[in-house]
Amino acid sequence: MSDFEKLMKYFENGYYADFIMQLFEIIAIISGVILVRKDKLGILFLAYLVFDLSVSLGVTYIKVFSSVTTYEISVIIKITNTLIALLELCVYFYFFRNILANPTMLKTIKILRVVFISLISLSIAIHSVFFTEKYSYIANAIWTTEFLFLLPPCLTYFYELLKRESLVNLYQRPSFWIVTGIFFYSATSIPYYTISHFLINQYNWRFTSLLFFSIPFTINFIFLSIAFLCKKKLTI
Amino acid sequence: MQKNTNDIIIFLLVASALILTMAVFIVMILYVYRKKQILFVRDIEQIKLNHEKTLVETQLEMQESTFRHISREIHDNINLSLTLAKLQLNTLNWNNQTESEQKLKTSIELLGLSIKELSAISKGLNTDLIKQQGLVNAVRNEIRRIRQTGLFTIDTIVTGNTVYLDAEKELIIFRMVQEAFNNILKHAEARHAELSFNYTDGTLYIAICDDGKGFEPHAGSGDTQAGLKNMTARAKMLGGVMDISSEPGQGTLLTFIIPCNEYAKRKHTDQSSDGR
Repeated sequence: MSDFEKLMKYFENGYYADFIMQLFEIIAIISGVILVRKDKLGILFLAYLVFDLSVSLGVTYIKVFSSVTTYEISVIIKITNTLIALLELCVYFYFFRNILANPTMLKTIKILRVVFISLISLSIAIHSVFFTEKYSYIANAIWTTEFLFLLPPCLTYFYELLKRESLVNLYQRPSFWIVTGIFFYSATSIPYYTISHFLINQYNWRFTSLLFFSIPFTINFIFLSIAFLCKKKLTI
Repeated sequence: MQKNTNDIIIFLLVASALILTMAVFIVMILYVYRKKQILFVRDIEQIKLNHEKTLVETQLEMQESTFRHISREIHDNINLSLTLAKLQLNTLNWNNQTESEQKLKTSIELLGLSIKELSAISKGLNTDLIKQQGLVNAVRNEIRRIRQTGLFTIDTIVTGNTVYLDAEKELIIFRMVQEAFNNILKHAEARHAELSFNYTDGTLYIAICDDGKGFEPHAGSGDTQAGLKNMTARAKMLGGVMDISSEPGQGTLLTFIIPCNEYAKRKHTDQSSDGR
């Protein structure tokens, strides 16, 4: 079997969900490079997307072409995803700090960021736990926490948005698309990461990850691309 | 195989449910936002309508005030001069050549005075000057005209980068300054007055002060109160404020703070700045 056939087989087994997700991530990066590369927030989003895509492509390469064991792949995924979660949360919190007006929420964001960084540091510090099967639970807990932390700013944004009087159409606001994307994949990821262990036992891993990981992320990348295409400052 | 088909069915159902939830959520937000936006647009239109109404009312009030001013000027000065000239000419005695020559000379002087006053009124009413040269130059011309009366000296200071508002707004500001100086001419008995225009951070600060006899701002006659009320209303209509500070024997200070963060498309030639 050639490398290309191996790759295609891998994508086919995953219902092409990984392929579609990576494709939309590349589209988001290209539109970001063209349209928001001069914006500070745009650069941050681009950095996050490029890092996420690199990890995603790297993991795909390891899964398809390398001879590492499933356990080792699982550990690599857990570590890289935890790092992505950290970067993601920092970028999104920075974004929320630029668009939200509620001072209490801004303070809360600062506190949540510190708490999250502490959680990750703690999980890394517990080195003995880190490389055991139990780390799966810890990683899931960290990711669930990330999405839980992202929900309050999203809800505050929608509250402020509906309170605000403006002549700008909603679909022309980049922030609306970005926050809707974050809200959607956070809301759908929380139940997934909470019960993922049970789901994996019931169904195959690819199937569950396709349902609750690839689709929300793909939608998030589509919304990010739409936000970049709005051609307005990302903070509006 | 059966399990795989079931998986795909469940996948399609859950994926559809997720996308449907998302779509419903977006539509709901869009609906509420749009509803609010329509109300907001309606409010803005109402505000615009009210503003236009006030603008028309102010213009009418300014017109009325100008007519009163013309009527008074014609009655008090021009009419008097012309009546005197007519009297002089009616009583000409051709037998007494010296007396006739004197009366003719007086009549010519009176006619000259009337022409001068008519010219002054005409210049004061000419709004084209504002359209052509902008507010600052129009005010400078007005000050030049007032200086010619020789009743008091006037210093003019203009600072900051001049912002050109639309002609209607500049005309209202011009009329406010004109009215302030008319008040100094008529009531203040001042020897010196000062006018300053300061354009800072999208705001025009105008200060007009004199060393005249001053007055009690809240205890003036009906006309004075009406005049001040009109000026306050005009300033308010421009989105600004007017403040008056005066005491008997202490002179008067009038200040206007007017937002001017919009640029008109007109091009002005600042003739009085350096003469070029």
